[in-house]
Amino acid sequence: MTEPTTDSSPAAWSADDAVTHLYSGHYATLVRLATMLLRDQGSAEEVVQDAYVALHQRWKRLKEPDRALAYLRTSVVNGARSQLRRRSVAARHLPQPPAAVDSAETSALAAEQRHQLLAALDRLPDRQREVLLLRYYLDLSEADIANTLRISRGAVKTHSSRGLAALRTTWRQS
Amino acid sequence: MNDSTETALREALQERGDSISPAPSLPRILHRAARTTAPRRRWLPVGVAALAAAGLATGAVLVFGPSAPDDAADVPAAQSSEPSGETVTVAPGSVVPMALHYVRRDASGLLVSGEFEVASSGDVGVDAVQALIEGDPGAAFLNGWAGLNRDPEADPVRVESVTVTDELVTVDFNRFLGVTCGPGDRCVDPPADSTLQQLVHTLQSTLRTDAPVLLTVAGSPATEAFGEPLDGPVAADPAVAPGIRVLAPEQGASVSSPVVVAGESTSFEGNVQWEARRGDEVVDAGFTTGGSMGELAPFEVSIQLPPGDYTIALWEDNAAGGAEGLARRLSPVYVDVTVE
Repeated sequence: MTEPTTDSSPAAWSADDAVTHLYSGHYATLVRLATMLLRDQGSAEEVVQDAYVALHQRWKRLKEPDRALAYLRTSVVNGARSQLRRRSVAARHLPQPPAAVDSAETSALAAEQRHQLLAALDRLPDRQREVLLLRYYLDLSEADIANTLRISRGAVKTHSSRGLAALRTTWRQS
Repeated sequence: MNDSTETALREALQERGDSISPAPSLPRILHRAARTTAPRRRWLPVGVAALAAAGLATGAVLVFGPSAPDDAADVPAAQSSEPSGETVTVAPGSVVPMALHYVRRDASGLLVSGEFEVASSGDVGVDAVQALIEGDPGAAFLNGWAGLNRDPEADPVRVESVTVTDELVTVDFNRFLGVTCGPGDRCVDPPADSTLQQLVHTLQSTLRTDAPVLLTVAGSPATEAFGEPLDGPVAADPAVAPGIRVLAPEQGASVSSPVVVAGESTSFEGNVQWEARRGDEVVDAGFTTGGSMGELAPFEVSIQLPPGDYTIALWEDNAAGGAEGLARRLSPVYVDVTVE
């Protein structure tokens, strides 16, 4: 395994250093994001690993190494989309979302409400789901979401408000 | 505005995320990265010789334009008003086999491709895009590019240039790419994303690259195409690609004999044809079996070849009953290798 150099400037990192730094800081979060996008952890880990391998290959040509995390996020979302499309082509249906795991600390009622909320999230159109996950799981700004998904900020607002409106209906009913 | 739904969603996602524990994977990532950092070449001289041999022309010459500076290869920063990179050219009049990609009518978004022999203007990239614009896939498939010049009164859409670097293919058009089927028109066009995938897959196959494609109009990045906003280069979606994909060897690889060609495919009754060409000679040919009925399954071919430069082509025979009328060879893929 390669140890990162002590130089903290991304521009000075080798490709191995970059991947190692970005792995320790973000791999788990990206796998969790991809798992929620794909509803399947095994596929999610493959998609995220592919993104890191691709980053390694392109590292020397990245003009803005500081934006490597943004590159990874976009790669992961694109990889997840491809997986979903492949699945829909092959199986014509998506697997059922996993059942929510109740937390021991939460009441049964709160757990059920969250389960319903996440189930409603899983039923949203893919783009709305992507926007809400990036906003409420990764806490990305509107501009960063637009950059990650390669859509306009106006489109981010539209997808976000439509998705939230659908979730509010579920939330109020629960 | 932060309301109770947003708070609940944030907490629920955090909880779900915390329940997911990724396995340690850094050694695997670094190992995979080390295996895939071999330099890639897009075209070998033999590629052109074989292309010419497969058609009618002889004496095709591969000429690269000036190389792009390294920093021009950076995708996010590719906002230059001047096309940068190489132009892939052959002798004008050479007949070049190309995999032109069209869209199925079944709303699946899947592409179908056929091998067409295109008489080159000399610029292979421009030829590929122009062939799409002028292409007629018959009644069974859709071609979003064919409709661009449907209006005889409008200024025809032309492709001005196609340049390629390791990181980016840039296609420059003379004018805005508008919506082609208006309300009440008796025509059907595929969705914008499928139309763009037609272009990306056709160019990547023709130029032997996996770089994303940036559309520009008169030198400036296009912000809209076919009625949808366009925000940067368009990457290939492998999930919509036609039925044959080669995973090894890599394009331009130097390999030893026997050459093991491995990939995944889905085709009529699983049949995949292949041939190895050296110059104007088909050195070896045969068939193998992959998946069928839309299910991808792995295939592998082992080919004994003497040292030299080869183009290995794989395809599905249309005679087997696939896309009627499109082309004799369906889903063609090409990989150029040097056998050491």
